[in-house]
Amino acid sequence: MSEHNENESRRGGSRRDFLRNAGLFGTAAALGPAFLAACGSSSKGSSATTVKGGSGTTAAGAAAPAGDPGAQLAAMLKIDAKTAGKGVEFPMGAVLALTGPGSFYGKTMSRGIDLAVKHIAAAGGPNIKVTYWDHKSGDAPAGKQAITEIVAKKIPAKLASYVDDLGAMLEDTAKNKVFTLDGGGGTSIFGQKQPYFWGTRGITPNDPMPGLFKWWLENNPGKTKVGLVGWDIGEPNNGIIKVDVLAKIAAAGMTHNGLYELVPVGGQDFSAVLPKIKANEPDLLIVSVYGQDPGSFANQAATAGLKAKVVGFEFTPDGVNASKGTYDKDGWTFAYDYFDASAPVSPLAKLFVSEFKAAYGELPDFYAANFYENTLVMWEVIRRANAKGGNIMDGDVLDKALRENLTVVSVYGGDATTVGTSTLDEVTHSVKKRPMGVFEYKGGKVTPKAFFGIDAEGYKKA
Amino acid sequence: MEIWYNYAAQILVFAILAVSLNLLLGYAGQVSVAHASFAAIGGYGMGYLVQEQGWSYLPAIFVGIALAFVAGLIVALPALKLSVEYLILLTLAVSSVILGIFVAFPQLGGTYGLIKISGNSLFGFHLEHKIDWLLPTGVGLVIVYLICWRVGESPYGRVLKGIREDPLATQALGKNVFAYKVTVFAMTSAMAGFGGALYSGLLGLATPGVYGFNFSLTIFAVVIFGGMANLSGSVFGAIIIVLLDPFLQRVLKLEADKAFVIQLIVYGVALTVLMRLRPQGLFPEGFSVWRRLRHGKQQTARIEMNAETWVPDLDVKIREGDHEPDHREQGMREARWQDAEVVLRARGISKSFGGIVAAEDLDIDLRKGTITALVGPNGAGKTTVFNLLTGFIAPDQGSVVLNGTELVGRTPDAVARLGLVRSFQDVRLIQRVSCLQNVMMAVQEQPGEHMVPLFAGGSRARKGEDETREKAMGWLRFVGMADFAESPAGALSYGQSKLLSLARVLATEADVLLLDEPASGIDTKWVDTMLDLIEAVREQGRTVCIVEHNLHVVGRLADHTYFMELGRITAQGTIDELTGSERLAEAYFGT
Amino acid sequence: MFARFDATTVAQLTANGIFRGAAYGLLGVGFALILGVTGRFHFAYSFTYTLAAYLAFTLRFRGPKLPFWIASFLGILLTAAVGVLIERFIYRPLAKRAGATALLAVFVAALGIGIAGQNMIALFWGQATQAFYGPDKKAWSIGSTRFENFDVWQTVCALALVLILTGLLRFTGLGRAIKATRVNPDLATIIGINANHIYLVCFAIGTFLCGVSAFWYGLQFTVEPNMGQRPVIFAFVVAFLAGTARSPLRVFFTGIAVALIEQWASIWLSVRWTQTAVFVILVGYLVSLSLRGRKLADLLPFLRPAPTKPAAPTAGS
Repeated sequence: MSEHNENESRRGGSRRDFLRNAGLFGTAAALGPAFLAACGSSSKGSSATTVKGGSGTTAAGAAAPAGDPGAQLAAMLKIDAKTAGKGVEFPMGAVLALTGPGSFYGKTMSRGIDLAVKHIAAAGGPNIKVTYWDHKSGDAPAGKQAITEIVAKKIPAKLASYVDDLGAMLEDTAKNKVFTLDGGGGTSIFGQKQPYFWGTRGITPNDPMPGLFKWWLENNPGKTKVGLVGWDIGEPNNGIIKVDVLAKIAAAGMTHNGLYELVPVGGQDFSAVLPKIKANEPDLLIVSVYGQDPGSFANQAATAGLKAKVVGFEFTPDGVNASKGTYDKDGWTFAYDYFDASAPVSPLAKLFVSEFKAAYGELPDFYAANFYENTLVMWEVIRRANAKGGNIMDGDVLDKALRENLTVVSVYGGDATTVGTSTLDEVTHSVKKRPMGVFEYKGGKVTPKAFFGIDAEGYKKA
Repeated sequence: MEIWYNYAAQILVFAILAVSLNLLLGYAGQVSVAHASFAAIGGYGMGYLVQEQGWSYLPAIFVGIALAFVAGLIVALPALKLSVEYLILLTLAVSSVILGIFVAFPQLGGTYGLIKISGNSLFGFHLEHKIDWLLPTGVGLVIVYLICWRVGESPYGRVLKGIREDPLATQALGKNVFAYKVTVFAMTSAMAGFGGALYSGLLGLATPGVYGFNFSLTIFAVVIFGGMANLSGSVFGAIIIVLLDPFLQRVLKLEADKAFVIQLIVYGVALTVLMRLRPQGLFPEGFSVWRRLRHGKQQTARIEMNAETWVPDLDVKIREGDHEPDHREQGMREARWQDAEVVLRARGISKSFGGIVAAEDLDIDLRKGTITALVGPNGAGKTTVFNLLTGFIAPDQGSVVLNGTELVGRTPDAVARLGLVRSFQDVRLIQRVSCLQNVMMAVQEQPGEHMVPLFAGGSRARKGEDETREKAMGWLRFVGMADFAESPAGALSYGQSKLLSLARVLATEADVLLLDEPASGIDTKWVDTMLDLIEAVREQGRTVCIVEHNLHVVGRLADHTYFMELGRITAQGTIDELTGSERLAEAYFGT
Repeated sequence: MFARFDATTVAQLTANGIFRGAAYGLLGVGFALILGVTGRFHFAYSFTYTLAAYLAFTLRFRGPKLPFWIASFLGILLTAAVGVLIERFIYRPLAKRAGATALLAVFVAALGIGIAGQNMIALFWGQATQAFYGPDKKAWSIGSTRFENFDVWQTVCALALVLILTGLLRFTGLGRAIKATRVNPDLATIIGINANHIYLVCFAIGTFLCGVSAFWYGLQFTVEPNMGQRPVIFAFVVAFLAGTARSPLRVFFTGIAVALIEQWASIWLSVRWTQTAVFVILVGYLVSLSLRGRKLADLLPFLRPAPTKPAAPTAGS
């Protein structure tokens, strides 16, 4: 049995790809609502190569005051000045959804990057010179243009989202050895096992599902009927995800009640699907939609008098706005590797949250945290390469440096004195170990309900 | 440099798509917002074969073109009769459905599309870098440009322009408007498929997002910017629209998170302003950069016609002096009419529109070498008779036989090709082309109006065009309008356009001519000469039927007259006999 | 993929169809009035839709912070004024100049305004969703059929506006002038109607209806720069299916019919296909429209042997 399980979980790993999540698609779907979103030019070109960031502010010396974030960071990460790469200019690309319906993601991600760049320089690391490209919320030709320019400028590494712009950049990334971290959508079906491309976040809905079911059954014993509403992301992806979801439902001792409704990406009107749900109402309803859609769904589900417990996989301000107050009034339960800025765990997380708040006047969210973290991982990889005397301007060297040890620094996990880590999978390039949990938002506050890892590993109640 | 090769290749692909759309939109006037969907068919077709089936590019591109051609053919069939706004809506709906179908197929990658189209070769060249694509896309543009130019600037293109301006008038000249529309739609769809196949090859992608509605609108905007019916304008438009992107980034240094938004604002504002200030586009129809550079600005002065310059080329002598109807002569003419052979025989023609009877049981004979007139009060249904005879309106019952051939059930263009051609009361010239071209359009059986001679007929098309020009000039001289050959028809006065319209009808060389109020609106001092022209036509042995209000004109011309009231023929005979009847006079003048 | 459906489900879907259809219908009525009377293919309708919601939002939550209903009403009125300005200063001069090709010229300009307008909104207000909150949402029900208070208000409001418009067209001098202009603008001018004024009135009314529809949408869904795209495509569909020169009531009920088809289709189809189903029906309708009264042989004339001309006539000169 255990052997079977292991086998299963390995196969699961290769399929776990499934997608995406949140950051991704946005509106890539052709028929989607983004009808005119990119009107006029969807097809051409990237946008913009403005250099932000890259500030070479004063480096923190040994004598820096304890309050200096650079010094704190250097201490936490136990930086060795010999390999830190101080003063070296390191070019890094970032291809994000800076315009279009997903521009919320691009904005918060770039804030996380900019903050990390500042901290790294202050902590005695390299001056990371970030060049931003806009993939226009999932426009494949824009991504193609971006990767062409990245290669032309000989930039060895990049941060990415929307599964490297819906797969359009993956091939050129591999061919030209551009070391890439995607903390927005992680990997995906086509993003897994892609050379030089690593997804650093959990995959929703699949990764948190075992932990979610465990939490659910603990609190609602016997209520095992589960149904799903999810974004239609096309075949064969829908089918592959479904197989894995059904396997996870069965493995957790839940029963699928036959409800498996796919809805258009970005279609905010769920009026046609709600009666179908009501006609076959489960105990637990998994809602795998993202962006504004979960908010709209929660709002309409409340009106429709849905009795099933609704659980989503993302929590964003756009979702709160779209819920028209339902999140605040009735609550919104979600399960993923959420970053709880109100209760940062590790010293690194605390530093990040307080610095982010100081810089932008608000608490950071999941995407800001992921891209802050990715930038730190980039530095970690640079330090490893420096230690071996490798050329950090070569993406291949950076990739090998990561493979040396797939456990890297993380703003998630850890404890009051230890900085957390995240572990990647050598084969799939997705995350293997990452803290996640079930949370509830209500009345302006997020409360954790349970913590666990992928496959409910290390489950504990909050 | 790779970046600039990429922009260059994009310009070439955009130009292919825009030039082909221009043939459809600019020449034929068919407003399609589905061009990107046909490009998608080419791109997906090619991409599937290369990525999933391991084909090499060349056969895959040909399959892509063929698929797009077939799809274009299917969409063109219903597009036939729709007005512009419905065509916009139809193509909009069709593009939604086409993309919806692509997303449905797992083999085509669903929502993500095909994202690994690469690593293959064309004619033995491995296409790896962007620069490798410059040659195939460049050659592609040359081919598409030459095809579109050949078609657009040929007799075929002249008919397309006719369809654009006035499909009915074009059909009345014997052109099978439907076949032209379907052919040009399918042909441009095939070229879009070609462009799409190259684009997907260049990007290595065929995704629903690439070929979304936005892409259609972009190509549409390129055509509008560049100028409709001006192919080099479309190439120019493609350059502008592709290079706007690096311009905003590199020259204006816009922030990445604003650049695209601002770019779209620039597009939108530019489109609106362009429509306001220069609706014909940057390169208007007929404008050529080369000609402009060589000859400088051309003035097309409007030539005024006056009695001195207007010299119709008549074989018959213009009679001087008294043109009052001669009663005895009328009797002779009636006798001649009775003796002449019947060319067109209409029997029992009836038509009603939702209870309103427009024509009831009409019997009409038109006889060889004679002029028959149709008179009657306003609303009697005289023009309706022309519509019924020529197939513009299908009669509910009855038969129309022309030289032994039944016409009922045939389309107006078929009727015209059989030798029955009508003019329109409101003239209906093709405003934006020259007078000569207007008349040339009417010449029948031009080799250049068919695809095969155009592309495979050697010099046939050119010789045919020379002959057509000769004939057309002959008819222009006949009506005294040779000096106006190169003026656009839209610049003519009403009287002049009546003359041109007559020349156009004559140029069809049809046996039977139906002229709708040929002399109305013409300056009185020239009416007689117009009538001389019509008489000259009779002298050539042609059969003429006129609808006319002016009884003076009828009395002068008609060999035989039918009198119509409320959709029925109530009397016939010489005009004197008819006007002699008190009852008819009362019906006519409404006293 | 067959859902278990029963009377409850069908009743709920029907109710949804009527509520959503009222929104489609109201938008369709406004668009049909504009296109039918003025002949302007007003693609920028999506821009005015979005603008109405943003203006209402701004007057309520930014700047003046007016009371909710006043802010919303003012926002809609301002948008109607924008619609009038577009007609007066863009479409009218453009159409005058373009003459016979006015439809295409206006379509292109409208496209430009739509693109530029949407992105200007994104530039000024940002691209994120705005929190447009009004009175509290309440869930109501009849039997097992449930809906929001907003659903009912919107439907009542839409129906009332459509009835008022119908009455206006039928019983007032202005209405008769509008109808006369719709039938024949030249003729209307001859009998002393100023067609230009009528056009402005139609833009004011049409844009006002569009704004009202956007307001209810914003209250129930989200206010964001591209909110206008999908609803407006449905407005086109509804207006064309009903016929742009038809009475507002007919257009309105066509909107409800389209929404009912969309909702009921979900009984047999997965929800992701229902929108495509609407477009398939639209294509089918347009095809039937173009085939109406034609025989197959008419459609395929090139398949028939071309009739030969009986005798060659003598040439002219």
